[in-house]
Amino acid sequence: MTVLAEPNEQVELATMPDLPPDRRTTKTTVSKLAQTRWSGLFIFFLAIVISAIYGGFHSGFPTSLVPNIATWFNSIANWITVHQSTAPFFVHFLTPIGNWLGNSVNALTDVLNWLSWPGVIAVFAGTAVLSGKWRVGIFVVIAMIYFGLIGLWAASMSTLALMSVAVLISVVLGVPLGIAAAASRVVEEAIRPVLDLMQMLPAFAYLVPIVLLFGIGNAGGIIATVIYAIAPVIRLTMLGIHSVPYETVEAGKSFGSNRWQLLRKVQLPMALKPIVLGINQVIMMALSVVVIASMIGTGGLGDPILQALSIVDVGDALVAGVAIVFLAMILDRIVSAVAENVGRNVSSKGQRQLISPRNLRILVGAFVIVAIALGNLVGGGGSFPPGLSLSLSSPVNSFLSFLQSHLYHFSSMPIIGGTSNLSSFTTLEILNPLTRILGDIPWWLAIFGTGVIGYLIAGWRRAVLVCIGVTAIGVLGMWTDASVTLAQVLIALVMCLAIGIPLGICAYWWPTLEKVLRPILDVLQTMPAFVYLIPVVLFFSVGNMAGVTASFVYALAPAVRLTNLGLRQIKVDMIEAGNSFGATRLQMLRKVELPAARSTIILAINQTIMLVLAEVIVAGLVGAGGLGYDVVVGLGRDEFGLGLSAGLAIVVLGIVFDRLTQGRPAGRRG
Amino acid sequence: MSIKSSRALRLKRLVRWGGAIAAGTVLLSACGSSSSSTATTAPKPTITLVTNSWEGSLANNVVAQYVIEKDLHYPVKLLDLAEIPAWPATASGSVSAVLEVWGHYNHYQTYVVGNHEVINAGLEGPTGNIGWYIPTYLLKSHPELATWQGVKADWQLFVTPQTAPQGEFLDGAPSYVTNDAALVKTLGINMKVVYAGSEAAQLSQIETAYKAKKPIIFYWYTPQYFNHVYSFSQVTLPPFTQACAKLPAADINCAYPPYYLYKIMNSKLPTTAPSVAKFIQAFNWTAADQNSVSYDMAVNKLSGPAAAAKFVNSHQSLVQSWINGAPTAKKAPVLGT
Amino acid sequence: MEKSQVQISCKNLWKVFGPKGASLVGSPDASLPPADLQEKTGCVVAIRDVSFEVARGEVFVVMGLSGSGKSTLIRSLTRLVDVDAGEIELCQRDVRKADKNQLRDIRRHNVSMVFQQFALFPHRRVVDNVAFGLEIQGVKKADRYRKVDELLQIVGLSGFANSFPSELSGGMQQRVGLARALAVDPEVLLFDEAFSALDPLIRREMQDQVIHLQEQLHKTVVFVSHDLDEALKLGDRIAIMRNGAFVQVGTPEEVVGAPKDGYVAAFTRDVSRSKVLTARWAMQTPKYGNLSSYEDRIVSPTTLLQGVLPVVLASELPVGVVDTNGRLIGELDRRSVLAAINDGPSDAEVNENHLVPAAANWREEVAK
Ligand SMILES: Nc1ncnc2c1ncn2[C@@H]1O[C@H](COP(=O)(O)OP(=O)(O)OP(=O)(O)O)[C@@H](O)[C@H]1O
Ligand SMILES: [Mg+2]
Repeated sequence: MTVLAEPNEQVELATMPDLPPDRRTTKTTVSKLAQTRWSGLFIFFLAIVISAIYGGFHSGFPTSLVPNIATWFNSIANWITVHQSTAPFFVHFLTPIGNWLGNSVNALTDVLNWLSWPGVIAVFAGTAVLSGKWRVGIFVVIAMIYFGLIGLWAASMSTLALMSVAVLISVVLGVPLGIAAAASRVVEEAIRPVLDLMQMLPAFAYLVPIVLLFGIGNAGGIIATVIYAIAPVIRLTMLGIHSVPYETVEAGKSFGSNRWQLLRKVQLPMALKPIVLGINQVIMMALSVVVIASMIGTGGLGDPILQALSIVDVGDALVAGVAIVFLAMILDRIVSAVAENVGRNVSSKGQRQLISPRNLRILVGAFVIVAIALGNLVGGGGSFPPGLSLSLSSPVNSFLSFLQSHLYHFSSMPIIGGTSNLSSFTTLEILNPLTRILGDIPWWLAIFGTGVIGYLIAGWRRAVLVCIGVTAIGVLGMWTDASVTLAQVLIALVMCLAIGIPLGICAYWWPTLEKVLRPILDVLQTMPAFVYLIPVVLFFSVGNMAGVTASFVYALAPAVRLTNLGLRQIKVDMIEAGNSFGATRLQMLRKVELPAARSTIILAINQTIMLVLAEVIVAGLVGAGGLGYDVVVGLGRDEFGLGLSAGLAIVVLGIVFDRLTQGRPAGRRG
Repeated sequence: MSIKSSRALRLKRLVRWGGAIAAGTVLLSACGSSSSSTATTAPKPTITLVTNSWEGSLANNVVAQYVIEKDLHYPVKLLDLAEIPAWPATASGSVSAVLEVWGHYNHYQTYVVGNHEVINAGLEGPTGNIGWYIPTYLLKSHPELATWQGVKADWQLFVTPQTAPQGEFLDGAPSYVTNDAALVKTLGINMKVVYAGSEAAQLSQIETAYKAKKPIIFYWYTPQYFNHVYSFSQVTLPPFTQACAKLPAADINCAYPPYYLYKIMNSKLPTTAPSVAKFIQAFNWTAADQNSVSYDMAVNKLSGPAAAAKFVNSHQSLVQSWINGAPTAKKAPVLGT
Repeated sequence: MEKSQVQISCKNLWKVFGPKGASLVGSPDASLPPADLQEKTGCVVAIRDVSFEVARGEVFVVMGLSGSGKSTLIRSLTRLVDVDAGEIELCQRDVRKADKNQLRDIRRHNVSMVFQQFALFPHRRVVDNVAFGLEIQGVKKADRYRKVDELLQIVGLSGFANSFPSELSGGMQQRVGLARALAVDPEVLLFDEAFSALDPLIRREMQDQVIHLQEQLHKTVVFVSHDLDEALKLGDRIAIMRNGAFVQVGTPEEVVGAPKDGYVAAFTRDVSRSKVLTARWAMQTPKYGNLSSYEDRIVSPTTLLQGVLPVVLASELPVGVVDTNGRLIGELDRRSVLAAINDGPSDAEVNENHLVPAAANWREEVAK
C-alpha cells in the first residue's frame, strides 16, 4: 500500500468510500431513525446481558468455541505437499504456468542484458525525454548509475525484469476485471472482499503454498507479487469508469454506440487517469514485496538486504533499500510521464521548443543505438564496470552508531532523556496497560461493545459485520494475540494522526514545507521495512515499542499526504468566502477547512490504519509479538495453519477498522 | 486534428504498443524456454546451492562453489532462499543441494523417508549447540550465572520495561523451535520470554546491551560467526535426556539436544552430476573452518570467491578429501528438532 | 462628489498575473495586445490603471466580458487579491496599507461579499452559514441566531434554518449567500456575478429583492455582472471593462445612449433604447419660449422614451420637457425621439471592434 509523490495523491481514491446517495433528511425520517436506533441498542444490550450470563467474566475467548482451524489449514498444506508432483491439476496446469512465468522473466532479463547498461539507461531516460520530462530523464540517469556504482546493477535488472512482468500481468488481468466490476454490481460485490483479502493478507502467510504450487524463483515471486499488488488497478479502473459523468455516457449512447464502443471510445479514455494511478500503485506495492519475494529465491535487490540483515549491517541494507526506492520512483515517474503525454492536449499553446518533436525522436533513437553499441563493444555487456564502485555502507553504519550513542541513553536529550527512556516510558505506562486491558475485556463484551460502537457510527449492517468480524478473530484462535496487536495498532495510529495531521496542515500553510516533506515521505513509504528493522531495535529495544515505531514510520505518510490533499482540494471560493468575513487562520482551519476536508481526513485515518496493519508483520520481526509474530513463525517453522490463521485475523481486523471508518460519512451529507 | 480524436489516437497507439510489448515478452519467453530445455541436455548442468539467511550457510556455499567450479568444472549458482521453501525446491530439483540443515524432522520424514525425492548427504561436521547464553563480561561480574540456578537467583538483573516486573529472556529467529518458555516455567525462573522475531532484531538488541555492558540473557547457538565478534558464555541447563525429549513441549525441563548439522541433495543429482554428488557427500569441515570464512566475508569484507580461495589455498589436503574421499556419516534428525 | 460621501475610492489600480508580475506595471510592454503580451512574457494584465469612486448608497455596476478582470477588481477591494499598484480606500480606511489585524477588521465589519457559485459551506446548516460572519466576530450563539432568524425572514427562508445547503435549490442557496453577507450589517456589499448562475425568472426575483432591500438599507454596492439588463436595472452607474481597463463609466443612459466605442456599443446594441433613455436624453432646446405653447403636451425629463412615444405620436407638434419646478428645459418632436431610439451602432461598426476572446476559465484551473 505504498504511495509515491504526485500520482499518489489520489491513490487514496482506491479505497475511497462510496458516497451515500442523496438523502434529504426530513423530520420524520430523523425521528424514525432515532426510534430504530434506540430499539437496536436495546437489543444489543439484551444480547450482552444474555451472553454475560452464559459466558461469565473471564477474559480470553472460550476455547470451546475455537475449532481447530489451524490444523485444518495444515492438512490442506500437507495434501498439497504430498500431491504436488502427482496431481494432474498441478502437473499439467500450474507447473506449466509457473514455467512460463519464470521463462518470461528470464527472457526479459536477457533483453536487458543485451541492451547493456548504457543501453538500458538510454532507453529509460529516452522514454522520459520523449514524454517531455527532461527532469525525469535526468533522475533516471542518476538513479541507474547509482545501481551500478553500488555494485547492484545485475540485481537491479533482475528485480526490474521480475517487477515488469508482475506489473504487466496485474494490468492485463486487472483492467478487464475492473471493467467487469464496473459493469455489474454482482461482480463488484463479489470482487470487493477478495480484493480486501488479497491486499491485507500478509504475503508471509501464503508463501509456502505458492512455492509448493508454482515452485521457487521467479514464478512464485510473480504470483506472490500479483496477489498482493493487483487490487489497486482493479479498484481504480472501476472507480475511473464509475466517475465518467453520466451525461457523457448518455452523449455516447445518443450516437448509437454499442456497449463495446462506449467502453472503448468514451469510458476507457476518460478513465485513463485513474487507471494510470492504479498502475502506479501496482508498481509501488510490487516493489514493496521485493524482499519477501527474495525469500523464495527470486534473487534481485532483496538478496543483499537479507544478507546484510544476517550480519546486522544496516549500511548495506540501506544502500540496497535505496536502490529499491529508486527503482520504484523510476517506474512510477516514467509510467506517469508516458500516460500524461498520451492524455495531453496536443494543440496546447505553441511553446517554442529547442528541438522539434520529430528531431527529438530521431536524436533519442540514435542515442539509444549508440549506447547499446557502446555498451556491447566497450562496456562489457550487461554488467556495470566493477572498477566504478562506491562504498556507502561503512559511513552509514558509523553515522548510525553515532546516532545511537547520542540518542539512546539517558541524559542524551532534554526532558525525554533519550529514546531508551522514551521507549521504557511508553511501554510501561501506555502499551503494557493497554494490552492488559484489551486482553482482559470479557469476550462477549468485546464483541457487543464493538458492535454498539459500530452501530452508533456506521449503522445496523456494519454493526453486524463488525460483530461477526470480532467473533471470527476469536474463532480463529487469535484472541489474545489480536489484543496485543490491537494495542500497538491503536497507539501507532494515535501517533500517526497526532503527528501526521498537524504536519499535513503545516504543509498546507507553508508550501515550502511540503516540498521538503515530499521526498522524505516517498522514501519512508517505499523503503522496504526490512531495512529499518535494525535501526528501530537499536533505538527502541526489542519489544512492542519497536513494533509501534516501525508501524508509525511506515504509516505516517498517508496521514500527512491525505490531510494535505484534503485541504488543498477545498474549493477556492469557499476559502475566499471565509476570508472575506475576516476569519483568522485558525478560525479558517477550525470552521471552514477542516470540516470541508472531513471526508478526505477520514480517508486518511482509514488508510493510516490499513498501513499500520500492513506493518504488523514487521512488528512481529522486531519482537512486538502478536499476530505479526504468529505469521512470521508460520513461515519460519512451517506452521502454515498458524500463519494463515494469524494472517486472516489481521485481515479481519483490517476489514473491521475499514468498515468502521468508512461508515462515518454516511451520517450526514458533506 | 481535434483534441479528442488525437487523444484517442494516442491511446490507441499506447494500447498497440502495450500489446506489442506483451506479445514480444510471450515470444521471448517461448525462446527462453526452448533454450533452457536445450540447456538440460547439455553435459554440465548448473549446480544450485541454497544460501539460507545465516552467514555460516554462505560460507559453506562459497567454498563449495569455488571447488565445484575450479576442480569439478560445473557451473554453480547460489540461491538465496528461506529454509522451508528449500525443501520442496530440493525435492523438485530446482535446487541441487543444501549444505547445512538444522533439524527439520518433519520435512525429513516427508521428503527423505517418505517420497525419496531428497537424499540425506551426510553430516557437515559442526554440531549445532543451542542453549542459553550471556555475554562473558556478565559472567565475570556474576560467576553464579554459569548455571541456571544462578539465573534463577539473579532474575532481577534482567528486568526490562517490556517484561516488568519479570526478567526478560530474549529469544531469536522464529524458525527455530525453542523450549525457553517451557524451561523458564518448569525451572521456576521469574522471567518472561520475549521473541525478537528475527535474528537481526535479536542481534541488534544483544549488540546494544554489549556496547553498554548491560546484563542480558538470550537463546543462542554455535556455530555462529558472531561468536567470533563477541564473547558469549553458555549457561548450563539440566542435562538433555531422551526421557525429557519425550515430554510434551510445554513441560520440557532439560537442555536442548545436540543438532548434528547435515546436508541434503536432490535424489537425481548422483546421476546428473556424479562427481558433484560425491563431493557434496564428502564435504565436511569444522565450526572453526566455517567461522574463519564467515569472518573474512562479514568483517574483513572479502568477496565470496576471495574468501573461498584463501581458505582452499591454505587447506589443500582437506579439499582433496572432499573430492576423492568417502561420504561422511549419516544421522537423521530427531523428533522435536 | 463630496469627500465624506465617498465610500469606495480607487486610484490607478494595477494587477498583473504571471511571472513578471508587478514589474510590468506602467511599462511599454503592458500596453501590448493581451495575446502578444502573453506570448512575450507569459503575463496577463487583469487590472489596468483603473480609478473610480463610489458614493455612499450608490450601486456601482462593473460590466465586461469573461476574463476582462471584473472578479479580480472586486476581490482586490478587500485584498482577496493583492493589487500591484494603486490606492484603495474603503469607508475612509486605507486598505492597501492596512496590516493583518486592520484588514481583518475591515473584512469583519465594513464589507461583505456574495459569490457567483454561492460559496456556501456545505458542512454547515443554513443557520450556521448565515451566522458565519458573526461567529467569526465572536458574537454569542443566542445573539447570532436571533439575527439570523431576522435575516432568514427577510430573504424568505424561515423554514429552512436547519437544512444543509445541498438540500436547497440554486435560488434558495443564493438567498442564503445574501443573508450571510447582510448578517454582519456591512456598509459595503460586493456582488460577484451573484445571480449569473440562476435561471432568468429566479434571477429577476433576486434582482427585485436587492432593489427592495436597497430601498430600505441604502448600502453601498459594487455589483459585477455581464448581463446588461441586470446592470441597467440595478446600477446607478455602470463601468464597462475591457482587458482590465475601464472603457467607459457613466449612468445607464450615458452608456446606452452614447457608447464610447464599438466595444461598449456591442454590449448595448440589443438593449431596447426606449426603455433606458429618457426624455432628457432626446430633448432639444425649446423653440417656443413659453410653457403654454405646448398646451398639455408636456412630459418630465425622467420619463422613459417608451413613455414619451405615445405623446409625440399623438400630435404633429413638439412636446415640452418640464422639470419638477415647473420650468421648461427642452422640447421633443417625433423626429428627435425616433432618432434617439434608432441611433444604435451599425453592425459594421460593431464588427470591426474585435471583442476580446473569452479568457480561459482560470478559476477552475487554480482550483485544480
Ligand atoms: N490567479 C490568477 N492567476 C493567473 N491569471 C489570473 C488569475 N486570476 C485571474 N487571472 C487572469 O486575469 C484575467 C481576469 O480574470 P477575472 O476572473 O478577473 O475575469 P472576469 O472578468 O471576472 O471573468 P468572468 O466573467 O469569466 O468571471 C483573466 O485573463 C484571467 O486569466
Ligand atoms: Mg469573474
